[in-house]
Amino acid sequence: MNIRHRLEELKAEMSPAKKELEFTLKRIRKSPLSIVGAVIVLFYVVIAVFAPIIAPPVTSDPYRIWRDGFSLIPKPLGTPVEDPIARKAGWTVHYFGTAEGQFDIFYGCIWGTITAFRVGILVVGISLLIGLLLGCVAGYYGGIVDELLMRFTDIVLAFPDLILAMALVIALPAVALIDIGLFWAVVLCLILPIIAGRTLKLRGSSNLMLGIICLLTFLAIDIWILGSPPIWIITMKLSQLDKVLIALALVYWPSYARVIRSEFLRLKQEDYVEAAKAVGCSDFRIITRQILPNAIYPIIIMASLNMGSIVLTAAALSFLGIGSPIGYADWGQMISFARNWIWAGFQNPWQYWYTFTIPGLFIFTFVLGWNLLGDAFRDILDPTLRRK
Amino acid sequence: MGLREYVIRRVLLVIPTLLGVAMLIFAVSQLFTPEQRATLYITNEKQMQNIEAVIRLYHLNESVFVQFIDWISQVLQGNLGYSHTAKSPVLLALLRKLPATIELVVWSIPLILLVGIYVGTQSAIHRDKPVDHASRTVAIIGWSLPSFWLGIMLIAIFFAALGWFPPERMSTATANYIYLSGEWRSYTGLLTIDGLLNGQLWITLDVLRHMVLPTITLTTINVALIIRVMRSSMLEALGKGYIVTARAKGLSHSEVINHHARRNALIPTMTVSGLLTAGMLTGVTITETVFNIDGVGRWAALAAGGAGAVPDIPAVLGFALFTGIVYVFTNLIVDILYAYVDPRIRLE
Amino acid sequence: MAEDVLEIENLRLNFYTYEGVVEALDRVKLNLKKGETLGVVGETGCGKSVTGLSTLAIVLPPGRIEEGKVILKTEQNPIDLLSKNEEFLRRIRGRVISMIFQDPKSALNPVYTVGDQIIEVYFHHKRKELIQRVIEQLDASITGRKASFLSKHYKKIYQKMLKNPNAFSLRIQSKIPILRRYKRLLVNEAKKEAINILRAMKIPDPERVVDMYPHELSGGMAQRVVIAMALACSPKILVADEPTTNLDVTVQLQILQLIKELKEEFSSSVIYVTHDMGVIAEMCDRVAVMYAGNVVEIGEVFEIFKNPLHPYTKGLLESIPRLGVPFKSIKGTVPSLIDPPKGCRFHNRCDYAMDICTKEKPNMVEVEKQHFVQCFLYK
Repeated sequence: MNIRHRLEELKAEMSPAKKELEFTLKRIRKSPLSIVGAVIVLFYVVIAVFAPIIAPPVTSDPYRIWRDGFSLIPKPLGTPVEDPIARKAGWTVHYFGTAEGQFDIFYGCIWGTITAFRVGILVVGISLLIGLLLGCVAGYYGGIVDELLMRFTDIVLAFPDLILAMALVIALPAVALIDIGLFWAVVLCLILPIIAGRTLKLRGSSNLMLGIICLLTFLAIDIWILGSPPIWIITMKLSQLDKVLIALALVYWPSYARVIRSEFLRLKQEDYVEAAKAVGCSDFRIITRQILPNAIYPIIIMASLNMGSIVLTAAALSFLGIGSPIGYADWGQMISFARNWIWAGFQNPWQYWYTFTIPGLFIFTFVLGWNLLGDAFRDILDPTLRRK
Repeated sequence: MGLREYVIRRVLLVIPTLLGVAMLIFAVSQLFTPEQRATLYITNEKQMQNIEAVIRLYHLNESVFVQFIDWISQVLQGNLGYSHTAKSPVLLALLRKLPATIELVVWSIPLILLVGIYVGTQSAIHRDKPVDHASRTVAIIGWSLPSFWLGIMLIAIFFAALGWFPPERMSTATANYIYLSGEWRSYTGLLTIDGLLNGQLWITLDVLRHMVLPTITLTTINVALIIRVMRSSMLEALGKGYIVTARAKGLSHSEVINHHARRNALIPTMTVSGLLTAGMLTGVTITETVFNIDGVGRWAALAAGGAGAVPDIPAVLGFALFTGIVYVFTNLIVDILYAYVDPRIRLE
Repeated sequence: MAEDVLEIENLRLNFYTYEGVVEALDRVKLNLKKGETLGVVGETGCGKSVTGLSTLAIVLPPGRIEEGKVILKTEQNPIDLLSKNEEFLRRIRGRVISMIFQDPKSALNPVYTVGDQIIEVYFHHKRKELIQRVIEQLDASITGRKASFLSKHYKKIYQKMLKNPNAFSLRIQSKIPILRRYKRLLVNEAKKEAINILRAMKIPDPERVVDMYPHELSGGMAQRVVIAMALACSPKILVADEPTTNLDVTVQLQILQLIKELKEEFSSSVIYVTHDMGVIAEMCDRVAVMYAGNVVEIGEVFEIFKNPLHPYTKGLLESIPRLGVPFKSIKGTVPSLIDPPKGCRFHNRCDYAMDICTKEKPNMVEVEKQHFVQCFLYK
């Protein structure tokens, strides 16, 4: 008659899929590292979303860090703000001090979060899409298609990210570009419903609803980040950072392609694929509804881990001077122009520690959060390691 | 099938792959204007004045195929263009700067592998115990650190504050001895070894002292990769049937792990190590820049237009070609080692 | 009547998993007589494989033996294997008691040759004899005319190996590439033994097979190799864990015949774990029927087939498909062992269940001569 008993009975009646989800959540809760990772990522998401409130923009381009004067010497934490426009916008004090050229470090770090997310999401999104496409085709059809695609992948893999990024950055002029938003929409609306549908056992029409909701959510985010509704084909002037993003995406897709391909090769032998073929399913249907939902797990792990490493690579590029221009809200960029202030003579050597330590900490914790999350995903989603 | 046939087949595969790499680089170079591309064919400063002639000479305005043939023939003759950042032909600059990078890698990789394999194995054996959690946490932290940030911090602490380990490759005293005194014979290009061969132990020690910080930086960041792959492949091996068989035969715990599980676990680790080595040979750019070591990586960064300089296209493309070749050969070696260790591969 | 060589008493084993504590074995009681083949039959999950592993005192994590004894009676005095330390057990495993496994392909390590894996057994258990033999050979070649420096040098090394196997100089020498060539002699001796045992397994061309890798062999050949590894040191007890389940039917027959012959040749006693009643009828003298972690009935094969006592055994025999007879199966499914039913674990599927069956566990009673049953129907 107990509530407990009733709950137990209800639980016993749950479908196996829901049980799996609950099992997964229980394991997430048990692993402290994954919670730490999730919390960190959530924390940065909050910062990114509320950036305009936390650090109100002073100039018309919020991605340029505003400057309080032109003096070369960095000012310490808590220095009062002098620029009248900034004060009108709500600034009273430089929370994290200023860097060389009086760029406000606090502003740079907060808006740098948005840049970091933008870099990570765009690069992961594009490379994932390309990799998925090529990997699916190569893995499913096999034979000569597979050979050719894999040779091509090997060749592209032969390039370390930094080098190709450098080459492309120099080479690319302003290029006509299809709005990246379109890629994102496709990715989200195809893949998310599949995963959700599988784990929650949704029916066909519910899947469609989910896809439409995703599309609408995506549109909203797009307007917010890019500042304009997505147009199918626009000629966009590629900033330095964009070139870097494209270069990175073009370099990172092979690893996704390889992983998807090997998963497909493995899963294609499974009995349920044979059954689907015997029933007469089209290839597309088999790929998307039978194999892909099973093959997606390593990709999720890779994507979350890549979020971290891509931000690191982008920061490295900025540090070398090939990434964002000076004054852009980007963590790597901020460290690069702190180079001269690391050691300020024997009198008070750590005087300007905040110029490089604080942005560095942001990078480190951001990447750490994604790495922890990715590792947690790997532990949880890897079916062979799931049950002890 | 046998090892020999597999090796022969694999070696033959190198040629089309190299060709593919060359084509890819050529494709990228097509993104540049003809003037920029002309710089690929010149070998000294004077020719830069007369770009038009160069363009006509190498058909840079003509069809892609003609250009490709021209370029390939140039490359095969060893002419990769002239690098204005290095003030010398690209190939020469490459060969001159390579030893510094190789030395760094040669000292870092064994450390990474030793630490990584040992910690990874221990992590797998004592799964979910404090050792496991601790090592994984430390590894993840290392992997998440930006390499340039770590480098800067290490310099700040260990050099600026404590004065123990200096950056750069050698001290002025060493540099004077090597370049000015006329008594130095360069055998391998690796200063640590050459120091011993020249009988100048102090040089070896000096260079080692300079290498401590960059090596620590590289190791901290990359060891996580090895730990992770070793741990997961070890866990997989330990779950297999032959482990129970080995125990049923009466083997001891350590024999089972070292002899049976580890051999199987090393296979994926080898692939990763190979990629890591190739990656490091071509990617220590940040570390070399931070520590101001005159190696291939730093040159590439300068060539790409770091700090607003004019991009040095032959250098960048030459470096890209070098990278491609390194990866192709590293993959070759890894594949052969793989076939040697895992007999199942030879059938494919 | 033959005496026991192995006795399992009151074995209780639990698995500690994420989902809860699985009470896998509940007071298992078995005995193996000298020279006989004891079958252990039951459905998947009844605990028969775990029982087999327990005879070797091998418990795979997350399992833990809570109580019970595994008494080995082949030596002078009976020994409870569960109370002995790892050091002792390692000398027993592979030499006194051996095991062969269900899937030969996964039981063999793919990166070592078949020969290497068999040699491993010899190195572990018969090292001294092999060293002696090498020394004798070296002696022979020294007193003959080929008295090379190397032979004398090797002889010294091998003598040291006999006297002081853990000597520091030996350990160093065995790691250095050229110096460790001396080991070749030992390996060759062991290889000869390996070839012999492969030949005894009726494997054609054993000299070639010994250098092959597991993936190059067919299922039947691989299983013979596994059997070779198990019988290499002529163990007194052989535990066979469904060795033919993964093989083709024709190969199955060959392997069964092989095991029968080898049992005679090596005079071992065999515990044969399976789910196939046909194999029991073919191979075994006595059989133990297991259900949900209990041995519910044990007796001579003929007797049990003719006169099954336990309701579960009856159900099993009746459910063997026969032409012309309507198909019968036991109602219900095997209960989860995480929270097993109280009392007799079979009571919720039993046609004869009584009130007491839900409350208490029955003890093993001897109904006929050497025919034991664990059921409240019998007193």
